[in-house]
Amino acid sequence: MRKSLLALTFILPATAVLAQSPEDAVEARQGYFEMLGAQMAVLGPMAQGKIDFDATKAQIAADNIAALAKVNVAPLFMEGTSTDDMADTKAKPEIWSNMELFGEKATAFHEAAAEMPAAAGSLETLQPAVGKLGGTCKGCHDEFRAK
Amino acid sequence: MKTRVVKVWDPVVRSFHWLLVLAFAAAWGLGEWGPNQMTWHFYFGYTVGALVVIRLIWGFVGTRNARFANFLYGPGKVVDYLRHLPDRSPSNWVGHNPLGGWSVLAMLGLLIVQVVTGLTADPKDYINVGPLAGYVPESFSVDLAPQIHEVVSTLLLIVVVIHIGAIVFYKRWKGENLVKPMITGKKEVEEE
Ligand code: HEM
Ligand code: HEM
Repeated sequence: MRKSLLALTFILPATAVLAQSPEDAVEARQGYFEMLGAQMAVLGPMAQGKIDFDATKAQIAADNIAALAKVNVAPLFMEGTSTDDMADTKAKPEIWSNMELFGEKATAFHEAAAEMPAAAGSLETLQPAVGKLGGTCKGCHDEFRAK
Repeated sequence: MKTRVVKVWDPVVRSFHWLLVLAFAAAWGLGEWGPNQMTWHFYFGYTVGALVVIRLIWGFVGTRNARFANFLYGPGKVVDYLRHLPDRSPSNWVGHNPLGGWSVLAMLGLLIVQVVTGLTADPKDYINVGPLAGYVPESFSVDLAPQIHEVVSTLLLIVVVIHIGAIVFYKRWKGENLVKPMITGKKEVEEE
């Protein structure tokens, strides 16, 4: 047991220095969207009255979303990782052929996310902010996420 | 040639039809081009759902021409009717003809599929989640339901275009106005 744990401490850094594979990139970016989803899973139902408004939980989720939106995920959208190339992704090739529009959709998300921390204090301010933020999810999915 | 005026469509069928046209057009347009917050798409989708449910019930308990049992004909009748379809004369049919009857069922069926997949769809944007998405397996709500909803929205468009095309065909080719009876309830048919 101890021996294998020891071995692990050597293997981990060793694999980390290898260049990122397409599979790793896809896994990482899906993990990123899961993290976004985990915050939205709090904010969405709260805004829609499906669960009670809780200012503390809302603030944490809102702050998390704003922080996540600042992460530069561009490297995770590496070439050769679209639905044309791999099975386990829903990222359409249009992302790479229409980077400009993809960037616009991302910017809309970044802007809506940046407004979240200030909006989480009350249900009245949270509702429109979550609507706008969720709208930016759909806005990008419509163009760039395969069904 | 003598003609007589008969009552074909009762007020339930007529209101159903024209309200459906409005609600369907609104739901379709908003689904395809509407704002990212799909609240109004949902409302018109619910309206379509409610209308179709009422029509289904009416198909069993309604007036004569509204009942499924009276307008779903066997293959023999359909083939018979098809033979006379190219004639340049009115069919003088009272109620849905053997071909039209099945197209009505097809439209209602597709509308049901559309409403059910809308109600159970979870497009993972956390704001446009169908109210019944939580009651079905996630593989259905996240993947299958939105996929079917999109495919059937196109199928519905095609079927509606055929539907309207058929109405135009009856008017232009056969000289038979089917729209007026759907508005007034009364149809003028020729007698031998
Ligand atoms: C403006 C466009 C439309 C016109 C002029 C029109 C006209 C008609 C007419 C004349 C009938 C009666 C056919 C017969 O005599 O057997 C009919 C029936 C029907 N139409 Fe339309 N239609 C239109 C749009 C639509 C749309 C958009 C839908 C569905 C999404 C639809 C669904 C139906 C259904 C379900 C029936 C059967 C009605 C019943 O038995 O209750 N129609 N339509
Ligand atoms: C007959 C009624 C309906 C029609 C004609 C209709 C039509 C459409 C259309 C054309 C789209 C865009 C599809 C696409 O290109 O992705 C759409 C999307 C959508 N509809 Fe409907 N719809 C109907 C009913 C409903 C209902 C009742 C609900 C839910 C309560 C609903 C929920 C949705 C959702 C959540 C989407 C977005 C799916 C996605 O982005 O993956 N729809 N609908």
